[in-house]
Amino acid sequence: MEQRDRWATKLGLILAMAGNAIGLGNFWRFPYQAAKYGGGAFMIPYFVALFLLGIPVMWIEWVEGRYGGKYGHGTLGPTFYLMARESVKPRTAVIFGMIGGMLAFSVTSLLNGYYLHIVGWSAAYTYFSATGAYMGASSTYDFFVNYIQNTPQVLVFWAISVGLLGIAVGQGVSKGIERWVKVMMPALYVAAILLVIRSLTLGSPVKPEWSSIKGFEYLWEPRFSDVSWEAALAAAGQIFFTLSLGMGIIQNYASYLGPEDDVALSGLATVSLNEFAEVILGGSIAIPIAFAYLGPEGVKAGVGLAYLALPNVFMNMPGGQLFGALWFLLLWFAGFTSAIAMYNYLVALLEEDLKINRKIGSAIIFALYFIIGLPIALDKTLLLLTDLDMWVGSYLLVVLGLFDIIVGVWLFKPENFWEELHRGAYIKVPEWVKPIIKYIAPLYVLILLGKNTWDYFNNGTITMSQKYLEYLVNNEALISTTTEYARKIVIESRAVIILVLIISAIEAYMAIKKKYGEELEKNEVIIKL
Amino acid sequence: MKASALAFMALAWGVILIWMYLAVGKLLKAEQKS
Repeated sequence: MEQRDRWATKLGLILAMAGNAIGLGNFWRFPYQAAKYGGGAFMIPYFVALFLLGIPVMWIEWVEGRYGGKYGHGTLGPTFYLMARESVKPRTAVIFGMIGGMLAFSVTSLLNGYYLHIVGWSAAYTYFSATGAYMGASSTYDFFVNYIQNTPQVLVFWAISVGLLGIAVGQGVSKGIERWVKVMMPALYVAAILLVIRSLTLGSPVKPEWSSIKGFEYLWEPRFSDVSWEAALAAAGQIFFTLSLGMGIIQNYASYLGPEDDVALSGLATVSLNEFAEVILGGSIAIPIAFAYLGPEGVKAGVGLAYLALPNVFMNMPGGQLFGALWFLLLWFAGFTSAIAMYNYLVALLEEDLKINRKIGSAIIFALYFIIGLPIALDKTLLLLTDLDMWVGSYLLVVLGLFDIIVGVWLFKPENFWEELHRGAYIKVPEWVKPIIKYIAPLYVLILLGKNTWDYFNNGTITMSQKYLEYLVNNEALISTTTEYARKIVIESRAVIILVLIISAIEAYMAIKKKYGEELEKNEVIIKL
Repeated sequence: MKASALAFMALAWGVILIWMYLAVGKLLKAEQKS
């Protein structure tokens, strides 16, 4: 078997994994969710979901990745096949391989297809902040709309970001990704800490009753009446999203470990670094700063807080150009270090399944992201991005999370999983964690998936009902549009998703057949390490 | 800042900081040993 690239240092691996998990959502989605669903009291369902769902699935994905890597695979198709054949015959195991490969390919291509645009916006806004481009603008909303409508400008910042990603991935895992994250992750933490210090020292610049400390109070004041079932599921969804679970990218990074490298403590350390960035740093920047300048109404802007409300704040803040640039640079770093993992998944797929050289593979994936990203850039309403996100970024992740547990624990067999988790481990995971991994985590995922499906059915997302189209037009469209246009965009989005799912299922089957064709023919396990 | 808000914030921050200190510290120590 040919020698695969490996992480050069444990620190590099942990920073890469943390960078993978720490994304844009840590800095804008978490504080918004916490403020909406009970403030400090939101931390109760949040920590429950972290311990019963987040950490177990994180361990499962690390174990799956290292197991696949032992056989030379960094993608989910062959990895799921290898694990599933511990319980079922190869011809049945291949079905699970196809499902895993299909979902991971779809997420890493489509999710990154639109995520890279948001990374590009962050690059653009870093530049706009540093040069003072929006300082003095009459409306930051109009400024943003003008930017989105200027397709060449959008594509320039997109191309800079994706080009750099392509270079980093093309250089390899240890010589490329690891070196880049070793610079970017400390820089990310430093930028975030500087912004937290600025947030704490703002005082009351507009009204005496508005201050950043009041912003902390707004975020952390426990409101137990807001902690409902919906809040509990929102917390579980946030945990899934923030840890980058259900995407295939944790497994991809873990596949570059040695077969005896620790995964138990490394998984825990990765989660802790993510939580530090999310709860401590993420919770101390956007909402306290926005509260000091815009008051309680201003912080209810949701995800619009990052690109619409905060530029308004930076316009009026002493040193606003510098801190605005720092904020968007922070978002750019966070997005970049997550996008790089998705990029690498697809390059690994080309490298391993089609034997395409990493540098050429990297250029091919650049072209693929351009093809996927162009219609998103051309849609000025951002509805294509919204509908893709509803399915790929919110739904498919959870489906893949469920299959992670079915394959990585149940089909691989719980005792094998437990043994793999402890192979080379620096810690002993207590026995009482076993039933959490076996029963509670899958139940959690099933409830989350059931709730998402029920919501999508009720609000007409699945059937593309008039109600759903009106919701998109009235609540999600960046600029005014019609339901006819929304219908066209939604059909386009669903067609792309179905097409990618079909292509990726076929690709996963071909990849498994290529290496394990004899096993499939005889329907018995032959290759075993 | 209200005491209840401060208490929740301190608790959440405390859990995460201690967890990060223990996990990352132990990992780096184990790496040095090996």
